[in-house]
Amino acid sequence: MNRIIYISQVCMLTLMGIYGSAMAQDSQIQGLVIDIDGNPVVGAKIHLVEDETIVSLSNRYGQFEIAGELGHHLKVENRGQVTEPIRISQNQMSVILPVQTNQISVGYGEYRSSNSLTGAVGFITGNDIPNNSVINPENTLYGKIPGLIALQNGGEPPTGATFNIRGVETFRNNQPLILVDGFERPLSSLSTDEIQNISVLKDAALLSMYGQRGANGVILVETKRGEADQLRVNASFETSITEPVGLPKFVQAPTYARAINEALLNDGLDPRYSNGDIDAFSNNSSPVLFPNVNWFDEVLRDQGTRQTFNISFDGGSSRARYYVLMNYSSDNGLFGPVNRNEDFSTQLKYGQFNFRSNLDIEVSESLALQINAAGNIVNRNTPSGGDGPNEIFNSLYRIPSAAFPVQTMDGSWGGSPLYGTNPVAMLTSTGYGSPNERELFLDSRLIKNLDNVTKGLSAELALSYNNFASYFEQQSKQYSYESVIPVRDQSGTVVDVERTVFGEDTELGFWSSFGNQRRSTDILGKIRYETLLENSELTAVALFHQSGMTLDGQNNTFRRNNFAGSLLYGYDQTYYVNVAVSYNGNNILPSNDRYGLFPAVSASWLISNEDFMADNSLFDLLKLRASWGVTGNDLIPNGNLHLQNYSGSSGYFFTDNNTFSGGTSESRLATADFTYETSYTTNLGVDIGLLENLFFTADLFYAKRKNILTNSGGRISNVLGVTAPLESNGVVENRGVEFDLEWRDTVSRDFAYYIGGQMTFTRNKILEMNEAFQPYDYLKETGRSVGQRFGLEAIGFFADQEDITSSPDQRFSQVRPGDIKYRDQNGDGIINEFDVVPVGYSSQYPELYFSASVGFNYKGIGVESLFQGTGNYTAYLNTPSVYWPLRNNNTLSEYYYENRWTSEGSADAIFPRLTTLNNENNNRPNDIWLVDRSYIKLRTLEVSYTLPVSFVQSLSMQRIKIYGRGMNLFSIDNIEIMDPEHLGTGYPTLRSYHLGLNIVF
Amino acid sequence: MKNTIILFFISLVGFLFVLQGCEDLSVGNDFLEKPPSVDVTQDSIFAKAEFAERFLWGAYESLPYGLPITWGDRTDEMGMDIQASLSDINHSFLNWGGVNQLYYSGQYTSGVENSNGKTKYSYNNSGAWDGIRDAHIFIENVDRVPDMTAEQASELKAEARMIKALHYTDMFRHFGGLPWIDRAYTANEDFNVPRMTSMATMDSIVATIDKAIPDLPFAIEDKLNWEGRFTQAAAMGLKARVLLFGASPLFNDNQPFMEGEAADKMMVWHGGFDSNLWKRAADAAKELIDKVEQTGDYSLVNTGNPEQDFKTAYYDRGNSELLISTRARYRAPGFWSGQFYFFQATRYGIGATTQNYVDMFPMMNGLSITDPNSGYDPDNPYENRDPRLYQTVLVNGAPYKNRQAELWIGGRERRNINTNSTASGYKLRKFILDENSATQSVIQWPYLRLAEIYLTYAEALNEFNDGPTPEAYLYVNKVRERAGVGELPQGLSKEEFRKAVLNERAIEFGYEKVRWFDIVRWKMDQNFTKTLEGMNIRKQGDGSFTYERFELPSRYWQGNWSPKWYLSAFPPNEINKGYGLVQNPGW
Repeated sequence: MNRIIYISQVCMLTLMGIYGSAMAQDSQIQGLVIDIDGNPVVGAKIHLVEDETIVSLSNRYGQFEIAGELGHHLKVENRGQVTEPIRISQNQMSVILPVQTNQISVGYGEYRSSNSLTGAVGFITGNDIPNNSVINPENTLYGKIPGLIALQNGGEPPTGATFNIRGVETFRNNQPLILVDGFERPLSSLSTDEIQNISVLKDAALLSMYGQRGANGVILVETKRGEADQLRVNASFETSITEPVGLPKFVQAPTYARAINEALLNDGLDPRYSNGDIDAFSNNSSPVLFPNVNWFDEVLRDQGTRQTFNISFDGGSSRARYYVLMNYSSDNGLFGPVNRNEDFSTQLKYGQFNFRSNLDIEVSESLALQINAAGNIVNRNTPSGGDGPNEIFNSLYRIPSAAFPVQTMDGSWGGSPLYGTNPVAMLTSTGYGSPNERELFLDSRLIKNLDNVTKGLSAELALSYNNFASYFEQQSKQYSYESVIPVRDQSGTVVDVERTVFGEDTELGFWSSFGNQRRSTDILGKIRYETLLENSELTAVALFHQSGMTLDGQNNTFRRNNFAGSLLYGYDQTYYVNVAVSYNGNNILPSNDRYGLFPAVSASWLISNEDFMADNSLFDLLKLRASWGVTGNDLIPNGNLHLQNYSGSSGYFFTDNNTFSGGTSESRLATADFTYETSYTTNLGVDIGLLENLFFTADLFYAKRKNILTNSGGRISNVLGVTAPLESNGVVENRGVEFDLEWRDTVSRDFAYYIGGQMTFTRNKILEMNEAFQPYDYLKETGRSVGQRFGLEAIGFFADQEDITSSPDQRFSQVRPGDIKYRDQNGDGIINEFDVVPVGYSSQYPELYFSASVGFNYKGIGVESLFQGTGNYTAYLNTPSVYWPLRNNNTLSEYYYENRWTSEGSADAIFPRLTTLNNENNNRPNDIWLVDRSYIKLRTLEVSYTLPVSFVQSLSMQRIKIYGRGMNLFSIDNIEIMDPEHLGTGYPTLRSYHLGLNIVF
Repeated sequence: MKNTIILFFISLVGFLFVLQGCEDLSVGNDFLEKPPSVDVTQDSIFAKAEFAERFLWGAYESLPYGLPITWGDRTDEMGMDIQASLSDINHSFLNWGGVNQLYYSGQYTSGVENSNGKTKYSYNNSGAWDGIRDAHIFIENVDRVPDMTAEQASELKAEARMIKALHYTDMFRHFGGLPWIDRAYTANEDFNVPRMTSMATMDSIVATIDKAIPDLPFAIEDKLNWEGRFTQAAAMGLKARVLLFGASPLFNDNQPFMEGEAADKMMVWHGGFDSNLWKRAADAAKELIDKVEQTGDYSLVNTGNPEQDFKTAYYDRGNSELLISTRARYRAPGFWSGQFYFFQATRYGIGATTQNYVDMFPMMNGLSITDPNSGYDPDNPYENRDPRLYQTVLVNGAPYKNRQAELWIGGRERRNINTNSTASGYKLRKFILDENSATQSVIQWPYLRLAEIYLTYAEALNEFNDGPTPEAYLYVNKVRERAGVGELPQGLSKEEFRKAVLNERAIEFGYEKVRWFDIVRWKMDQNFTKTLEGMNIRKQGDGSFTYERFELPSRYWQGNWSPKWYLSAFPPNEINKGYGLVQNPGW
């Protein structure tokens, strides 16, 4: 999306004739290389035909200079494409390469121009990413690429996103493969600034190269590399404030007391609070005995802060180029009273330092070397009590305002053995923890040009080593709290207080442990042959990739071998056919059956390049694509499922002394047909460019995934006497459509704008899952979507006892007026587990995922926005206190209180009566709690000003940009009181505001 | 300079690969041969006697334990409650346990058996099928263990058969006829194991036991190391237990206890009364008794101190009258340990003994409290009672924690009228002792004691001979003698003697999972429907007590009785798997 702004900047530069000062010598020919989109082509090699020793490279503006004379000829070479010789007719010239320089990465170091692309690939460049202010780059991908469904998880840094590509195709692991510079590494370990581009491979055309790892899709991330030029420094600074989204409001003490009494009355029990008590809560006359605490206010501050510094250097000569980055982000969380300890803070702090050094070295004319070293160091600080932040939030969601005071009369922490925790004390008096993480990525790649053997032949060898380690330190202590309970006389008047101290105050105690570790090593060898014939082109690749990954603990070594090849044939820049195949295996599968063959064939037809379209002025691009192929998914449980395993059991005690006889027992039965999942995928696509401004891509796809591991326990009798084996017989089909539509226009030198939209709709269906027998068809999961929710159908609330008596018997718990009344689906007069029906959709993923973006740039003032939404998505509202209040002594949300059923007139009640009991009747999946989870969110809104180039130049700089940005500014949804993407009690999701400065010099 | 830098980086990267390379990279296909785990296979188990034995000990683990231990363990079968709470001897106040949630409330349905682990016997989750499978795997493979003699192998196989027989015995008593598993099935086999008739099931169990008997030693010789393994006496005792259950009127009658498909197919009754079944039970018991008397290897614990002897008999490992005992822990842990929730569960109220049960204990002189000559004093109800009462139930004034138990309302054991652990006015003492002495003591579950065989013999003789024989009296009185209670009155009718034996069983084996099955096998529905009582004891100003009986909370089946409760329901999801399971009547 940002592309046009970049283009307009380049155009401005070009039109203003700012050719670099380095290009002043008169004897030189000066030129400009741009692609058909007008983008400068960086790093193109310019040869003088008359003297092959004279070579030049284009700089980042596509500019070059070369010693030559009028009448000589130039050849321009870029990523394997060589132009016909071009005659030098004047001292300044421009060369337009008949390609888009957005050479799209399609994996294993291969790139395709959009013309020769035969498969479905989503693509964004790093230019699209910077207008996100996030620590974890996963969070930049909401609504960015059609087919990539990214769902937000939470707000505590560095929480990332959950991805799936084109919906869900298995009821097991749907995780796509993420590769950074060709090797499996978490996207979250990068900083956003070092990302050059991201491609998402979606159909079998290209995924079949990944064989057993391809079926869930692949996300390819490339980091930035140096460009041959003088040193360029890109520095930015951003300061931000964050605030929580979707924190529900809980009732104040008087309301809580009234609600408890109402709930007890509903349950047929005696009230707990007298009118006098409620008055005391209201007028705050005795804040220790009758407290009214807003725990969120006590524990949280309104806003957190965040800073990001980024500096990168790049440059080099034609022989060596470098890109060096350092990035530091720090986040200070939402907790309020964090400085009550002199020596340390208990704020939730997150600091991440990233570094990267990418080197490109031309060792000789025919030998190129890349060496990349990158990594990060993460230091955190958390309140130490239990699981730190999440435990505190669990308490905040739980403890009523009337439960106990923050502190009692003598300054002790207030508390009650009923709750055991005091959120303020958890934050300030339990010490602190500091989890630390280190990650290191090293890789090198050697590319040997074998033109001397056969023209167009090259060989490549790459190695990578990755290591992750974490270490946890804690200085923790415990606190005591005091419970103050009124002592009452016969009439209920408070005559005394009973004070009891629980727990004890301890000194800080040190504790440390190693956390997760993982390491991986890859080796990749590749031979590539490319030839350009008169009207056709041919690219052939054969490669071998071996990867090993070792995770924590035993039984966690994953090893994979992949032999893959592809052949692309293009004719007349109009017809392309691609055949790809891989043969690969892994060490999880049985040794005689661990390899699979994954072929794919795809083709594209550029109708717009046909002769008969030559005169048409409407279509800039009209292209049809089709692919069919096989991919696999080896994200299956490891541990030798195919072998019958036996393990130690707890043993038996013979004799009356302590003689223990160790036992052995049989583990789950071996899976006889253990194998990877296989997906058969068909894709049809169309790419259209219209009127130079409109870009449209649409894809239709269908995939059938077989060999999904299912649990056969539903079919095999328990008299077998051992856990039934998993079977590889699950089948899921998935179909869908996606499109990407964008209108962009550079109206004038001063004004450019764009508006675009994307949509992905997928629907899957379980065809076989080894489901246990179900007495009624509507209970079956087979035939429905993965994760389809089931629940009872509510038909209102019981009005009175008579209503209960005359209705079917609800068997979950004793029913009283105000409880949910259910429909008897099978008409047997009993409401039980056989009366659940499908409700809504899946709660794992949305069927519909869409986004819209709009932006403009006027005289350096830019506005960009991105909206993203979901549909056909179901939420299960069971958040304690918010939706299931009062039970387990929890508190109550205002929203529930206002919408509850009451005995006097409650026609518009949404929720059932208040109760202090577990109430199994109400608190189970039903269509009151299973609601529409769709939303539309404004993910990003940015306003920026880029200073005029002339002014910036006068400061010897290249760019100065100032911006203000908002992230997650609002959400339109059904759920209203909480963030539909975050319905739990943990650390909330964040809305954030950012102010930043970016300087390039 | 530049070249130096390049060289440096190349060496650095190269070095890292060398470091990793040895372990993580190898050429070609060998690379994948590193398996993700190290495995124990069936071949490695049956390659050595020591490993093979371990497999059998693993099968022993499946044996049932009668008290709740911990969640997810094989004995959380009642959701931390005890089977006695279903019978007339005990009431449970544990509101989240299976007894209250499913049985007292009438919420128990067959559907509950699909997943709920709180039923009295879970067809799916009891561990019985696992134990039976392990036994078969052992029997099928042990002959190939190289370093084991044929005799050793036969004895171990016989033990494996006993594990199977014991599980089937329990299931037989909960369900009636059962599918019979005769080998270790593979998952892909067609399960064709239809439910058998009750008679065939009983016969199959007996045949399994009979096959084990010759290969087992009558008693464990090396008691120091191997006490607790199955013996010939255990096998003969279990056989008597199965035959007695099968001879009882639940199955052995002229009509089924309830009509239904399972009754039509004679899966829940034998199809008619056959008095010979009583003889078979009597003979089985007699055979064991004779051999006990002949070898002297087993005897009732009787040192002349009745209370202590009775406690030893049910509590201590390796005592002389234990025929079968099962284990799940070595010692009872601390009172609040999650490794043995039984202690805590009694605090939450699983062990509130009923007044009805207390009334079943006779006076020390052997006379029932209803007998005018017994000397029973309602104002002093716990005086001079059968000593077993004091070792089974904590009664007011009994020695407790080095003081006297205070079970009056307001007393230390019953702070207020609703104190869960003593809400009936009594509290379970068996297994829990005085709490203090129970923790850290060595524990076991007394699955079958010689005393039961004596009473089984007496009962079967009475039924087969249409009245008590002198031998019948003899063996009841042996049990009473050990307990320090006077003999049964002579001249009882068949019915009176039967009643006396059942009463004797209730008081001798309270909380040992005997009473429920006695009620069921004799179809004593009045014990389901009768009013159960507790005792409110109030302390007067002068230190004396008043005793007031009160009605315990009612149970669903008291007002809605159906004979279907005699047997458990099969889980519908198992019936739906179509291998021939037929639901029990009424479910």
